[in-house]
Formats: sequence, structure tokens, C-alpha cells
Amino acid sequence: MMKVRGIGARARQGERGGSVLVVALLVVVGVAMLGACLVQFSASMTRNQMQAVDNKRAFYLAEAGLSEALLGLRMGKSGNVGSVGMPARLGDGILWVEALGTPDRRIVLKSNGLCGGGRASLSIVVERRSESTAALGIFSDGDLVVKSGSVIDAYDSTAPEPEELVAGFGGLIGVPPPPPPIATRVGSNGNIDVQGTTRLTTRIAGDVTPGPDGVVTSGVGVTITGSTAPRMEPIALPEITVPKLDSKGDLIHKSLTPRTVYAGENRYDSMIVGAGAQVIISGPQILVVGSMVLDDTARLTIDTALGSVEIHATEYLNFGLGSTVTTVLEDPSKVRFLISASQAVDRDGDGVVDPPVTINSTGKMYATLYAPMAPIALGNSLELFGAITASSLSLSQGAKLHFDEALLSDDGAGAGNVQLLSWRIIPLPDVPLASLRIDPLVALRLQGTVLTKPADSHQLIDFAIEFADLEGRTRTFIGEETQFNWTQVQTVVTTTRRGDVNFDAVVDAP
Amino acid sequence: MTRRLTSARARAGFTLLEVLIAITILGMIAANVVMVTRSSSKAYESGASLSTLDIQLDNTMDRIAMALMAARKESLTPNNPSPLWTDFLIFDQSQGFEGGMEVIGDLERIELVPGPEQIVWKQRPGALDERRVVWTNWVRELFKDEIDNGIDDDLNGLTDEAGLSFTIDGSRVTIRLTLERDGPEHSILKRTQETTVTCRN
Repeated sequence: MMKVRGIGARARQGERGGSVLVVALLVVVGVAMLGACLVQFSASMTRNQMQAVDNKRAFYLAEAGLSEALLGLRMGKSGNVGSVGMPARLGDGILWVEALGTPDRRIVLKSNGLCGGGRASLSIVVERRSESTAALGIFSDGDLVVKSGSVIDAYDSTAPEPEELVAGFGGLIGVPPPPPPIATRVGSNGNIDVQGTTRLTTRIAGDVTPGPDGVVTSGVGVTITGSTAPRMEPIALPEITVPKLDSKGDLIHKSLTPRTVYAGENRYDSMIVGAGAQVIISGPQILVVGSMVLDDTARLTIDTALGSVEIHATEYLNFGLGSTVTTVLEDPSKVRFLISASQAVDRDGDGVVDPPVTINSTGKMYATLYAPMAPIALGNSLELFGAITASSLSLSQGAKLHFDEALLSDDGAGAGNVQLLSWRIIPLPDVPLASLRIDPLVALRLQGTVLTKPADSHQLIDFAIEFADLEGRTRTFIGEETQFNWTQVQTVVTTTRRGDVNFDAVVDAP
Repeated sequence: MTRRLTSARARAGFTLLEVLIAITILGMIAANVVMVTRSSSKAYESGASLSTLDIQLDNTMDRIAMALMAARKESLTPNNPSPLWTDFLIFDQSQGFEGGMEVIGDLERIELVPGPEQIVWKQRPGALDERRVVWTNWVRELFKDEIDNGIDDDLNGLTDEAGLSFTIDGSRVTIRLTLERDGPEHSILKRTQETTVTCRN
């Protein structure tokens, strides 16, 4: 009886049991759905924010690519960093930069940065501007006067001697072709007066270029082998930056025993070399002097065997009659006179103002002289090999100047400057890596691509081509031939490859 | 005895007391569930609104910054150094070089348009073919905690600057932006961002 009652009771409870479970299940499902919606919403917000973060990172990667490419250009590389097939890796993203030459001899750098789902493309236009003042050759900011009997020509201090050329051919039959003639550069921002007579002829082997509003006047007995057309724009002479060094006082040397100014950085308020005395300046050295005076017959020897010498004269420079300035090496790029003196002052108390620069030395001098604020009258006793720039320049009768063409590529001032002209954001390139918004590192890993860092991804220059593209525009490309897209070529103007005779000249051309 | 028990069980149900207790317990549970749901809902709305506001602020600031980065610094107008500020900027951008000459793009203007405050970008402002795009509608009238009282309330060197303001220092432009929108239960949500960009051209 008891058992029957128990079974019945449990059976009636069982019939009523389970309804709470249904309700509980409904509540749990509802809450779970709410939770799922919240998770989805959070995930969506997170994705949006990650996309924004990835876009910013891609932008900075593109900027890093531009910086790397600019550095490469300054180091003489092509400006190409990585490629679309083998980009460079930086952090969690990749980048590559294409460098394209333009008909007006500028370079367009297009940098692409990819990080996660973020993409960015930037473009800059740069121009190589030589900071080399020596490249100006014989230059005057004002008028330039060349008196009769003068000779201004050019040479290349790095060219091998003719005997070396023949020996290099190993005695083969035949003589190597003569090198192309080297042209000097004579220019000004004003007028140029080249004087000559039938007895004292003047010869200038190269171009004579006056300022935009200037003219070249020449008389009988004058031979100019190059152009005399005026330049389009005046040349702005850069200011001289004088190194800030502590002064060691005055250096006055009048003894007949040579005195050496040892290598390093030195500054003197004045340097005076007495008559017959000798001072040797050893390179590598930066020497700053307030005034530099070589008395008559004084000797200044510049020893550049171990390095170049840069001499700054900030107030006054006077090389007396018969003084000599000699260099151990006949390389003008190793000796630079940077003269920031500009004031004409009566220094000897005779009531006559003395010009800031006076050069009456004799002999041969291998150097570049840059005096943008001082007029210079160069005598005929000094034969200058190198280059000279002054605020106004007068070459006396019988002057001899030889411009060193090697200064065009190395004037001792360091690498050429690359100037930024324009910066802008451009559309993404039409390549799968950019258009598919997947992590590029994952995509490239699947392809088995090994990525290097940007500094190791600079593309070599082994190929140069000038061509007309499909739209008829003339363009140039300098870089690795494997990176060149031949499908954009309509007609080829010129091509050259590493190893060709003219390759270096084409690549180094401004 | 057995017959009486059996008929009692056949008529079994809930007593009033049991029902009252069950209802009370259910009510308490329901109330708790409603409270939790309501607070979760409020938190969700607030979070969603703030998140949307943050995204809008980031996007707007990025657009302004990108436009100014590509601007030519000599074209920036007006050129207001701190403590002067402006709520609009006119500029143009370099588009590269063509045929040896720099190509300059159309004039552009970014400004704060009042009532209700909007940030509007215009290309060729004032021209017949002017293009305009509204970048955001949620701009606060004044920046951050500023009150229109002639005092630099937020101690940033500027007085009563607008919700969008620019100050220029050479080629560097400082952009200050405050967005504000209504939140749940009549609350006000506010977000502020300040950044400085350099004109690259």
C-alpha cells in the first residue's frame, strides 16, 4: 500500500515536472542571443578600430619607404626599395618604392605601405641639386671681366694618362679613341666681358654663360668654343656655414723653420705667415681663420696626402706678391677655400680700404675658391687648377685658369643634395597585394617569399633606358632591369647597361 | 482512511499560500532580471554611442590631417599663430609635376559651419561648380570645456575657441576638435582630440 501511494505520488509529480525547465531554457536562449548580439557588435567595433589603426600604420610604412628611398638616392642608389613581388618588411607590414625618372630630369618616388588590412600610397617628386659650388666652374655673381691674353680651359684630374691607356690595351694593335673634349664653364649672373687683341688673344674652351639679363661682349682675338647664350634663371649662391670652433689665438709664423698645423679642427683669430716663412697645413683638417695673410714670398703648403683640407677665412684673405700656395696632391677637390669675408676695411692704416680678398700668389694652385660675398681680382702670376666663385671676378691680363671637370662628380663637399619638390597621397596601385584586404605577410608567407628589411632592399642600378610610353611621353628609368616593365614602352630612345662605356655618364647625369 | 486520502489527492492543487509565495519569488526574480537587462541595455547604448563618437572623431580628424599634410604651406589662409585661432582654413595642394611645372590642385576649404555645427569640406569654394561634403554633424560649439566667457577655461592658450579650431606655426598646423552627441537618458557624450600636422609641401 505504501509503495503504491509513493509510486502514485511520484507519478503525479512527474506529470507536473519539467515546465520550469522549458522556461529556464527559454530564458537562457534569450540571454545567449543577447550575448551573441553584443559580441558581434563589439567585434564589429573592434574591426573598425583595427582597420583605422592598420590604415595609419600603412601610412607610416609608406612614409618610411619614402625616407628609405630618399636616403638611397643621396647615397647614389636608384631610389627603388623592394618591389611589388619582393617588398621590404618593416615591423608587421611591408613596403616597396618605385623610382621613375621624368623628362625634366626629376625623380618621382611612389611608396606603398601595407599593414593588416590597411593600405596607403604616397608619392613625392625630388630633384637632385648639386650643392657643389665648384660645379659652377669660373663664376661671378656680378659682372665677370676676362682681360686679354687669358686662357680658360678644362681638364679631368681623374682621367688616365695617354700612356696608361695604351698600356691597358695590352699592346694590341690599334690606338684607343681619343677621349671627348672637355669643356670649361665660365658664367655669371651679370655681364661677361671677354677682352682680346690681335697680339694678346684670349681663348675660352667651353661655354660662357651670362645672367638672364646679361650679355657676353668680346673683342677681336677672342675665341670662345662653346655657347654664349644667357642662363634662364640666376644662380643663388649658397651661404657658407662656418664651423663653430674654439679659437687658439693668433698664429704668427715668421721663422724660416716650417711650422705645421696638424690635422683636425683648428681655429685661429689670425694666421700670418711672414716673408720667406712656411706653414704646412696637414689634412684631414678644417681650419677656420679670421684673417689669413701670406706676406710677400711666404709659403703655404697644404698636405692632402691623408685627407682633404677645408679653410674658412671669415674676415680677410691676402696672399702677397710672390707668395706660393702649393698642394702635395694635384687634386683640387681636396683643397677648398671657403671665404665668407665681405667687408673692405683699411687694414694697414694707409687710408685706402683693402678688399676682403687679394690673391697675388705665384705658381700653380690646385684648389677650389668660393667667395660669394667678396670681389676677387686674380693676377696672371697664379695658374689656378680647380674652380673659383666670387661676388665679382676680374681676371687680369694673361690669367690662366683650368677648370677640373672631376669636380662635377666630387667637389669634396660630400654627396649631392636631393630636394623634395612635391608630396601627395595617390591612389593605391592596381595589384592583387594592394586590392585584396588580407594581411600581406600571410599572403607572402604562403607564396614562400623571404622578406628583407628596407635597408637591404635597395635595388641595384644596372640598367638605364629612355623611352616613349604608350601615351607618347618621354620617360627614363634607371634601376634593375628585372624590375622594368617593358609593357609600358612604345618606342625605345636609348638603353644602356652596366659595363657599357657610357653607362656611368648616363646614370650620373643631372 | 485510505478512501479519504485518495479523494483528497485527486483534488490536489496549490494552496493560496504556495501561489503567493511563488508569485512573490517570481516577481523578485523578474525584477532582478529587468534591472540587469535595463542596466545592460543602458551600458550597451552608452558604449555604442561612445564608440560611434570615437570612430567619427578619428575619421574626421584623419580626413582633416591628410588634407592638410598635402597642402602647400604658403597657401594656408588665414595664417593664425597661437593664441589666434580660426575655425576655417583655405589651402591648395601640389599634384606633382607636369612638363617641368608644378601642378597645383583646386582651392579647398575646411570650415565649421554653425547651427547645427558641421564640419564641411569644400572644393572650389564660392565657384559655380563648388563641391561640398559634410564630414561630421556632431561638432560641439566650443572646444572641450570652453565656455563663452572670454576666458581660457581649458588653459591651452586659446580663448573661447570653437569646436573645430586651427592654429598655425610655420608649416605646422594644430587641429583641435570636440564632438558631442546625446547619450542614453539625456546624457551628453563628448570626445576631444588634438593633433599637429606638418604641411609637406
